[in-house]
Amino acid sequence: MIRGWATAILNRLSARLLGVPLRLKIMGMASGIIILFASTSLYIIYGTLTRNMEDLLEKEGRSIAIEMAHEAPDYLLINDLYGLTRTLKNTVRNRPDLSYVVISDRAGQIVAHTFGAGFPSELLRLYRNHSEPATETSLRRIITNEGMIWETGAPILEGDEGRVRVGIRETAFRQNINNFLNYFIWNSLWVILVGLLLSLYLTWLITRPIKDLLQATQAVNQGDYSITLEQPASDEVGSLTTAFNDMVKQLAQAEENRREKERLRRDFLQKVIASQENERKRIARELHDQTGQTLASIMVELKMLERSAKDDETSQRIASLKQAVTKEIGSLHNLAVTLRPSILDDMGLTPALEMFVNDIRQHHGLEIRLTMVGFGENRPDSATETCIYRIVQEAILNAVRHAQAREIKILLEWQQSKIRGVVEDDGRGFDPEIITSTNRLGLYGMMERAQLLNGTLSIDSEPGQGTMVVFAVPLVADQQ
Amino acid sequence: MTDPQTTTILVVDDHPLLLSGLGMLLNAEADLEVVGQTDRAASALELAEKLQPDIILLDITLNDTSGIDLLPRLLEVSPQSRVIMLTMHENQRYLQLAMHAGARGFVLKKGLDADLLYAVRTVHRGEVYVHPSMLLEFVGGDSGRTEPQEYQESPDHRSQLWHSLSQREQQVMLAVAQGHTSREIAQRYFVSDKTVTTYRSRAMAKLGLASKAELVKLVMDLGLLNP
Repeated sequence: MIRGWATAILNRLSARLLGVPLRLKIMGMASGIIILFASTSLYIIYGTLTRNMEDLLEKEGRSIAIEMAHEAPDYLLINDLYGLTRTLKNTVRNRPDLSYVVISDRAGQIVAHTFGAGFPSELLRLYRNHSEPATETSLRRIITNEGMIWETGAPILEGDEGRVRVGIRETAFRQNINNFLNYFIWNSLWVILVGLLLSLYLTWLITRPIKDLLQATQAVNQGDYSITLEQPASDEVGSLTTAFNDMVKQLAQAEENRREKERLRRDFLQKVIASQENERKRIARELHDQTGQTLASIMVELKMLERSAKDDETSQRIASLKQAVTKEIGSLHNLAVTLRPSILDDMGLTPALEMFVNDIRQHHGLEIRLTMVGFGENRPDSATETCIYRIVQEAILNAVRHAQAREIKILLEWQQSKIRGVVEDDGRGFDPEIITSTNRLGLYGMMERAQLLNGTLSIDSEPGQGTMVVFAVPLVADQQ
Repeated sequence: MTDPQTTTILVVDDHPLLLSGLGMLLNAEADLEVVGQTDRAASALELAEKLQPDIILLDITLNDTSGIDLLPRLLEVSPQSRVIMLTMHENQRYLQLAMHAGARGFVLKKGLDADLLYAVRTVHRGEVYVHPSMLLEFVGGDSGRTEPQEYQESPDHRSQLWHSLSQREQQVMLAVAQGHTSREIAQRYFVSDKTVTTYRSRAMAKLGLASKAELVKLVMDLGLLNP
């Protein structure tokens, strides 16, 4: 239970510490060590000094007391209390630490002291209430308004002639210790300050290359591979920098390769698409201009023949031939348009799409609405026109063939630098995650076409919710 | 040199076989005479200026230029000529452009046998001839007519975008702009939340808007919502 608690607290503490910047960690470490060292030293030194002082006070008190106890009988025997008092006063005057000396007789009556006029009543009360063993030296501490007084008592002639009590002030010694401690603390603070400055410099040394690395990493993230970091030192961070430089070089190379491949792929695809469109255009023209014209001339010749026909049977056969040729010209026209409507090249996207939409409306009998906003008489690049025509065509044919749509809406908007388009149907829709083989090629084809011209295309569909194809293609087809 | 009663015709077509066939066909008629044939724009202009024909039969697709581009220049050098376009393209746009450029007839090659002679005589009389299959659409009686707004120079782009939305989409967008949640809108129109969400995101895509703030701005600019 407690162990669990301890682990939890430790973990939390570690997490907290890990969240602190490196600079603070190092500075905290340095000042922590200094403070710890200084405070333990302070504790030990304070203890030692205090003990020494107490020893000293005790010894001094005892030696003065015993000395007085030796001298006192000389005066007491002749009852020279005046001389005794003078001696005591001299002694006190010569020793600044000495506060007072009191001599009492056997009965405890005070016979001489150094207090001059009045003997402190508290001290008197103390002597009355707390008697000491008469024949031995004694030591006690008395708190007075002068600070702590160490009072040593010593018997005179083994207690037969009374007792000497010597009071020594602690203040001076205490003052010395305090002065020393003050000095020590100030010194420690200075050391902490210098330590902090040093560790600040150290952290700067350590974190500067790390910061550079961080910035470089962000730059690489943004796709800037031109960065090479200078190598600051041969420590761990230095090795990291070297490794980083190597990695960036490799990444740049890989990116270059990828771009090159992508460029080749796009080039290739563009060529494939362009040549496909050109081929379709060529075949369509051929059908129109050659085969169609030939059929038209055959028609004219048939007309002439019909006129000169001698009998009904011949003219009937000619009439049915003419019908066949007429039908053939019609389907030839349709085939050419399906391949690539010449109207797209001759007159542009708007009429081409209108024609396509009208065709779908007539052949499939569904609601189809084309709205083109902002086009006016403008025409985009021919690559853009082809791209949009094919995307719209594919989207509409998908809706008609696979989605069983009853209503299709096409919206094209001419914007400043691009054409934005939406093709929406109310068909059965599909799950975009599951692109089936029936629509895969068409959908990928649309996306590919848009992307090749640096455009975008997205498909929004759900089963039962219809399908919406949204795309945007730049007006000027910068093909890279 | 020609009988004043005879209709003179210049044929401009880049297909030699058709050119000769048309010549024969037309010349077989007593009242028609082909006075010139060419497959090039430059010589067509020369011939037209020199011959001043009554009728010019002009193919839309020529080797070196488009018949529609050539048409006004022909009329410039031979103002009293009447031009009949001759084409494979069964397409309204070509028809509109040709008529706009000054053509008086539009004959499809698939209808050459039946229509050509009739067209030539009709146009020569001063009337207009358009192939029947294209006539209905051209005069605008068919439902297949394209939306008129597509051709108009519209000052307000955004209003057109808005009106491309269905009634229901407009209602939902207005409700969204007014600050209603999908749930409230769903309750109001008795549909599921999900339907409203789909409606909403698709209508936003159609309007080309990325945020609700843009939507609010749009409807306010259109005066559909008072601030």
